[in-house]
Amino acid sequence: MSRTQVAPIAATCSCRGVFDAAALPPDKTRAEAVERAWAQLCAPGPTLDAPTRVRVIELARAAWRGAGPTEPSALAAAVHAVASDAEGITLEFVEDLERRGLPRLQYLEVLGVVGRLSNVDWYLRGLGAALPQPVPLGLAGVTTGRVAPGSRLTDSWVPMVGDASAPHVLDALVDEGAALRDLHEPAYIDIARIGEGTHGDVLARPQIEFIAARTSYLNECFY
Amino acid sequence: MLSHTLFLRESAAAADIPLDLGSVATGSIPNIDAGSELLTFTDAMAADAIADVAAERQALVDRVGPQGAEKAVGVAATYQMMNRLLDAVGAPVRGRTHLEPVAKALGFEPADITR
Repeated sequence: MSRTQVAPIAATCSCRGVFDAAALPPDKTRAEAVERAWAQLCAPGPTLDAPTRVRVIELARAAWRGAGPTEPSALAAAVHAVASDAEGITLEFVEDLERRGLPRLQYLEVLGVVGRLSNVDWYLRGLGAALPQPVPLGLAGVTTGRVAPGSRLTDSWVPMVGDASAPHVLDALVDEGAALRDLHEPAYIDIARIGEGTHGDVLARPQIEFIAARTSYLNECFY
Repeated sequence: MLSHTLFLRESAAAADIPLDLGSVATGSIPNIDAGSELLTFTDAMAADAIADVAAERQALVDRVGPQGAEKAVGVAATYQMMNRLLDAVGAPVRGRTHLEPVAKALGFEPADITR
């Protein structure tokens, strides 16, 4: 395929089948993590029902295909920004979303969905696999309501449990925070061993960190 | 980028690898195993949301094997997620003074970092 051709959309409604035709076989642990993430993305969330989360997925993928915001809602604006210009998001933008009807916790859920979707979609594309089609795994109007008690604005723009730290940015939304770590750790390293400079696996730690640092530089993420 | 450039510095030192941290920013080939192929693949994954990366992936497979290449895919993908999350929540960077030398190594003045 030339660089200008797009990865195909799979005909299935599950993530499992897409690995079978991948150009590069997935690691079993990482594949299982991606399968869990995909199912969780399509399921009811703490503040957004499953059909809305599927809509978020569709809007994010449209943004990645080059579309502008396709509807005037605050939710669509949030999805587009997180998908295509996260480094350009400001506190003023988040406050404006809130005035337009997207509360901070819903915004946090939106960015959690788009963020984890980017992990799933980039992983599948990197393997040369097709992307699964999202299907809501819950009814309209049904949410879990699971928010961490005591979460509040600390040093960032959204409610947190404690100060903002990388693996815990979604923890105000309990299940979303757990889902983030469930997807991130198998892809990166065992967080308990992050202080071990010599720790690595099939790639050495400097190789892993170069990929992380260079990707972050290209995405203009200073953290 | 600053946290992981710091980890890069520390892990390279632990492995006795002389490494120019500036390669993270300049795109010069880093002095690590498979540096050229990792750089090319990482840049291809980050450049575009939808384009195929078959050529860059195969070059990486040829150099580090399929398991190493698959791990590289995983790292590149998960940092698309982490970058979006940390930027979109406004996670602060200024004030983390231990990262200032790393920022300077990448060509940034700490005072110019707005978050």
